Amino acid sequence: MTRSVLIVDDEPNIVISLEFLVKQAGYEARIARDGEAALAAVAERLPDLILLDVMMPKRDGYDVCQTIRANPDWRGVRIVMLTARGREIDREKGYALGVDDYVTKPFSTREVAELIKHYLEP
Amino acid sequence: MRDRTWIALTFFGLALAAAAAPFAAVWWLGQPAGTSQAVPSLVAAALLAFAWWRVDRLILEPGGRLAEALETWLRTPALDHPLHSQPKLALDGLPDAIRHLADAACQQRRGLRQVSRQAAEQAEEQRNWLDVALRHLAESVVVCDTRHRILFHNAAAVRLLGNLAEGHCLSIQVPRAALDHALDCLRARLDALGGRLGGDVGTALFSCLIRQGHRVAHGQMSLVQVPRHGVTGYVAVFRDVSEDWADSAPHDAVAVALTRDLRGPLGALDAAAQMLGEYPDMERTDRARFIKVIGEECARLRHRVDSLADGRVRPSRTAWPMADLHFTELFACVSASLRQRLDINLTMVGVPLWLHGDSQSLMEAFLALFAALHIHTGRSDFDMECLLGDRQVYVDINWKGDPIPDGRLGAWLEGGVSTQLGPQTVRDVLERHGSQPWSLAKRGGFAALRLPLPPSRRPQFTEEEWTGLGSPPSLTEADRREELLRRSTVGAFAGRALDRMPFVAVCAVLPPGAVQSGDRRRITALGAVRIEDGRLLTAGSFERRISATVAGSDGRPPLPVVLPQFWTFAGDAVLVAHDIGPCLGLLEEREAAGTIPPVLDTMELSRLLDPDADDHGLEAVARRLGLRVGDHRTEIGKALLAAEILLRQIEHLRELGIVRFDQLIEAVRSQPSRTGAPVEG
Repeated sequence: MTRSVLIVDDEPNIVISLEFLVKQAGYEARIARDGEAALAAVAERLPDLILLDVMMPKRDGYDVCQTIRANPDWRGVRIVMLTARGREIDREKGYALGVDDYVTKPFSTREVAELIKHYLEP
Repeated sequence: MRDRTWIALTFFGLALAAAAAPFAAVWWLGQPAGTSQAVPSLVAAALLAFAWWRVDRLILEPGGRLAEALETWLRTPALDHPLHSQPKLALDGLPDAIRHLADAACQQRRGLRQVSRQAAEQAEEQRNWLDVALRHLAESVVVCDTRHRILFHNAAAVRLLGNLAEGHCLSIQVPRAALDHALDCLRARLDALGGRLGGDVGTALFSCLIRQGHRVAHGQMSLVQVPRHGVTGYVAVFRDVSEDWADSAPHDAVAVALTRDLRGPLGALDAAAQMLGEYPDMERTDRARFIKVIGEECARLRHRVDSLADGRVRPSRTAWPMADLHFTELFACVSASLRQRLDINLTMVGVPLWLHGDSQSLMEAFLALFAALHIHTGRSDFDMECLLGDRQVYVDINWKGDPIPDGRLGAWLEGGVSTQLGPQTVRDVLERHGSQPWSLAKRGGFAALRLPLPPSRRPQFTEEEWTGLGSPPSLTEADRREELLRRSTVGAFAGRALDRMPFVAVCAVLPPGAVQSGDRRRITALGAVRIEDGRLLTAGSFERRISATVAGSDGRPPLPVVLPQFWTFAGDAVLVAHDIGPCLGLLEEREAAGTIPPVLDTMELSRLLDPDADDHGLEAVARRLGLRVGDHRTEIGKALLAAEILLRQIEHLRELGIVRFDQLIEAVRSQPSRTGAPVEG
């Protein structure tokens, strides 16, 4: 069964690149445009990996991450935060709330592709 | 009625009685009265009349004149003129003695007046010196009493603040809240650290809008302390930062853009460009999409750069008074306001640390967060504690319950606070401090709101605070262990979880050699702190210097006075010490009264947890457990360190499956002994 990656970002232009990257790597790409849509998508079908933006309408990435980690049924999903917030303290908050990795925008697409493979092909 | 009239009436009464007595006697005997009774009656009455005249002439009259002269002398404004001579008559040496007394008083008054005149001249001279010294200073200097009444100011202060009149209140020119907050902070710092810093608690920075001309100023306040009177006032130095304030806005906007706002479009642009470069054979439709992305993101970037150039971006001002502040002062201000405004009880736990920030804005931000927490959780009791990280100091607000969802926390951060320089959001205040709060679950059903804040510029503790922790050996290990095992009882704590128990960590100080010689009650100082439910309660600690004498003649209370106070503080908690030796005097007193308090020795626990370690002294154990806080040279500092060691040890004991007090006592009792080695305290 094809492993799936949920891309959660409200910036359509970054979603285009991430979606292309995920598909090129051979995984299923699903899209959510805000935090609530992301949680609905997770509830509908648990993805293997979530590429999660922080600054989004309705519920931000930290909130989504905290909600996912609070649910024991969703504990297995890997979360990589992809965000424009580049401060050390933002990174620390991400890890405190349960992300597996933290990538700051702008990012190297090659590194993100390797990161996706790292988590999906252990 | 005057005394003289009473005396005259008394003599008159006596004369009347003397005259009537012979007639009364013959009437009593039933004989007729005659001339033989009249003569003695008249003689007696005449003698008493003469006696009255002499008393009045020789005593009462000169006494009255003397009193009158004294009253006149006292009422005279120039009290240094001599008292006029009065006739002695029957007053013997009294007028002379009073005159000598008046002369001495005159002399003393002359001396006092002279000293007072000299002091005034000296004060005036110093004031002139000060005036000359401060006249050309660019900073505005104002000296006030603790009620903000102006005592002195320089010329620059008038230029910045407007008309300043001595005796008037500075809060006419400067918002009172800013002055009160800075003064409260310095007082709280003095209470917490005054002894350790020798009274020099440094300065408190604050910002304010000057009422004259709506200028922005930074103030720097220092306390004026007078021996035996404490804090009597303060010196406030103001600096006009209006221009810096205006200049800072574009710089801040650029900083925000570079660190956050431009990263989004740049990320999309960069990713699209990389896609095109790394996948040259992609389909035409994909290629067209990426080229479109590049075009759109370039336009977004251009718009953003134009906005920056035009200064249309919302400024995030940074000309704020960032300074080192001790957590205790922030805690004191926040807890006092919460108690007053929302009836919220705040408890400080853990060891307070130094932070760096804008004290007044931080206080307002904390108050806003507490108000939101109070509504959300329905709780009125919270703990506040400081944790030291590698690059940050974390301030945790703890409560019993669940963590706050980040979305809700985000909404709280948009709440408004009133700072001295105008309204801001909680997020603005925290962003200025490079802070990003989050909520987390803690052990024991607790949750926390964690606010990372910048650490102070000064070190949290100096290297010398680590030295001198070792005391001379108190007992041999065998003796210490024997004393400990005698007191290793479960008491009423059988089955109690270690992180749900009351402990009192104590440090007793005795003269060198006193413990070994059996003189265990020569305690000269005691420090103790409580641990409740795994929380180190630092706000209420016990600290006493104890007199060497039973009478307490050196101004310190003697041990018999201090011991009941200590045991009231300790209650029925388990006593904890790092080296039980110096505490034996405390215990023996208690044991003599028939109570055997359960005891733990963190040195023994260290042996249990690190059997291969050679050094189980206070410093070595603290270092092994990763503790690096506080001034530990004092007895309260050592008690704090012992408490922190115990809390860390409880965590490590859990890994060994020891979670209850009875399990721990059993483990201590079954611990093999290494006899003969001296114990470092």
